[in-house]
Amino acid sequence: MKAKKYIVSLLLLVLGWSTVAQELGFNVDGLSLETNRLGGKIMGEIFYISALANSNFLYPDEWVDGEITLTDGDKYENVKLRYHAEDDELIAYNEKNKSLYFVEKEQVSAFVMIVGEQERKFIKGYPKGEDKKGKYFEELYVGNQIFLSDTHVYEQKVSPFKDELGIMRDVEYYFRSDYFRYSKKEGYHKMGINRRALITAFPEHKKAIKKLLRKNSIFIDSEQDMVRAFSLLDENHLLQ
Amino acid sequence: MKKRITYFLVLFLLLVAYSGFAQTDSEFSKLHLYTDRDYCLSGDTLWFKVWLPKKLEQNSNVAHVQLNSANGGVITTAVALSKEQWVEGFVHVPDSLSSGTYFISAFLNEQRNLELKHRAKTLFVYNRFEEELKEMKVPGAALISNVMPVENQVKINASKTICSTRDKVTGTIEINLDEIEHATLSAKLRDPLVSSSAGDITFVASKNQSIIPAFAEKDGVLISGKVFNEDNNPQKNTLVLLSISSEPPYFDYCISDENGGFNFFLKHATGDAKVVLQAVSSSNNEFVIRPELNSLDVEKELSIETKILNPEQSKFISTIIQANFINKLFNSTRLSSENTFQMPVRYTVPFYGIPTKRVTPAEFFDLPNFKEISRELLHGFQYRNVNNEISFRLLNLSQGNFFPHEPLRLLNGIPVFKNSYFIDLKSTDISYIDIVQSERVFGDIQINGVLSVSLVDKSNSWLAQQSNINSYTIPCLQLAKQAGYLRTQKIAIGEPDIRQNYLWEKLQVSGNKTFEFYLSDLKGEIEITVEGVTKNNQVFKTSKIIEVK
Repeated sequence: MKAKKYIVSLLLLVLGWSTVAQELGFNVDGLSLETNRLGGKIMGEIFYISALANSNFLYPDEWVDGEITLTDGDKYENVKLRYHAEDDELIAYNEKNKSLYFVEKEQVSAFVMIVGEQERKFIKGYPKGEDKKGKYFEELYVGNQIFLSDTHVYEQKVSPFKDELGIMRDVEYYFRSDYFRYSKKEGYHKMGINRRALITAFPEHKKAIKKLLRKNSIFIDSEQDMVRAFSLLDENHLLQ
Repeated sequence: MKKRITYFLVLFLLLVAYSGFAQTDSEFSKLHLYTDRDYCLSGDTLWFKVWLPKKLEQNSNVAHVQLNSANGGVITTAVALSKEQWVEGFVHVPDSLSSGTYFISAFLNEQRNLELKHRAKTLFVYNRFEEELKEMKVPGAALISNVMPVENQVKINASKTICSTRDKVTGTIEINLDEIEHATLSAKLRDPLVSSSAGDITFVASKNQSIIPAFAEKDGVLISGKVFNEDNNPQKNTLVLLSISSEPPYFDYCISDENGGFNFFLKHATGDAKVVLQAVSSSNNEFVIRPELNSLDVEKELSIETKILNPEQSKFISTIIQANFINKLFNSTRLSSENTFQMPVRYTVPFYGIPTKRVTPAEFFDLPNFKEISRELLHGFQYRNVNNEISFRLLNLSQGNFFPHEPLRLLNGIPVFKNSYFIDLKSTDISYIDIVQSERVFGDIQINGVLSVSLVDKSNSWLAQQSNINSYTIPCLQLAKQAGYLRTQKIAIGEPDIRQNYLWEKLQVSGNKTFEFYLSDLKGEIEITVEGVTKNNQVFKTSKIIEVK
């Protein structure tokens, strides 16, 4: 009998609470004094990670610590980050509300990801033909000219196969990088990763470049070679 | 041995930390306020310049100026931005202020966290409706700080010592004092009471009770306040929302601290901000929000004594009150108190994200209520009516189902939590409707879809009848303005010229300087003053008197 009374009172309480409670339209779980931030707030769209995206579109393979710099100079440090190479979006993890989100591109000026021992810096650029939102580039060399890479995912049709989850697929995804050089005066210029591309980029220094590369035994075959070449050219005032 | 090294290290670190604090404190004491006058009439505009040490300016470039009564009450405040170590602005002296001695001081917001000595200037205010003032409450002589005499090092030479009204006065300043940090030059009508009883005083401001965040005000202003429950108890851990109806709308949130305190920062905000503050909880509790002035709390009442005015002092006051009356008849020079709010848009994307859809009802035929509008124009939006309980649901496009809860509902960018606000809205009331059919984050809050209705009427008059939502006008950074009397404009011969301030400018700290100004129609003694501060933080002052007959 007593138990019945308790159950009824509990039910009434629950009912009462549900009628009084108001829906705010946002989730305030995890808000505390530490979440107060006077400098501004970061915004973005919630991202639900799929197995496909996790294994094919996100760079690097693991969540890494990083730093986001906003266009007004405001900085967010120690944020878990990954870059979505297919959508060209930065994904951050919000520890307070346990969610992943695409960081609003308009807010971002640059971000740094600590991959292994390396700090990899990405900046937002606006090459010709791209939409107003801009595009993320990784800074490979910064000097009188900036050497940048644009990493994206491309899909390739393959013979049908079953993936690890037993799902039939006929495409495979690969990371690919395009390379650009940038200067305030000339803007963005796409370039290849070879000696010819470098000479074509700076035709007025053709002879000097050839000589320098030969003298320093640089054979351009990778982005590291190109970074070395850019650094060498800059030291010899050929990028001004 | 190891223990000893640890002790030394700790001691060393403590010393370093202490010296850091001490340095900041001494930097704060260097902040110096100049005013264009030592007396004024109620309703006047008082102009100020504040000099900021470079070290402080690098961290915080916003100075606050406040006018206090002798009992410590705050009469008015102003906040302005510095430029090359100087902050310039103005304070409106209320029209209804009674005659007496008031104190004006300048400070940085961070100083409110510390119990510090502050320097203030006396300001004698004469109520402009006063018929005859026979006595005044003035600070005791012991309260006035000494100033360093520099007659021999700073010489003021005027072209003539006896002048006629509207004469042009020229002169030179010879500075042979190497240690000047900053100084100003002024020429004004001399108030005999000021000469005998005014000056700088020192007062102690108590440490502010509410927690001011360790956040330097740079290019913006801090908005602070406290949240209480119905029983007037401070509410901790309560969500406080700030909204400004702008395009796009401005929104921010803060969780109250243990004293119920909350803070917001408006960057690059100028003019008077109309902010809407609300404290919310899912349990629908009633809260009271009280915004707090960014002001210093004077620890104890300043001792002032009644002084019987001599005939010369009384006559001067009567003369300027009459002159002010004539001036009001011919020339209303009071600065417009209207300060249009401006805050540059930080991001074009609204805080709730790029809308999935924007619907402009004016592009369709008129609909009588929100139910019809949602049914006809808002696809992916459900208007539900169950037992007269109205609820809204939005389609979550990324998940392909309806959100189980209400979306964030905004009216003119202000979050509202009752759907009854929307029910009677007609097409003609609405400018546009934004809906966001995805989940968003803003800081650490997660937003589950958004319905944002922008009304044609932006006055937000609907707020008046709502509990828990309050609109406040909060002064932000002052817009740059210049004192009318400093503008080089000639006053026509037939018009009265009753200026009492003729010159007021920053002074180069070395070498010679020439000056010129025109006198007004007022007769009496004109005081040409050089005042400043030495590098050792000593205030100096020297004056030259010329007579207008």
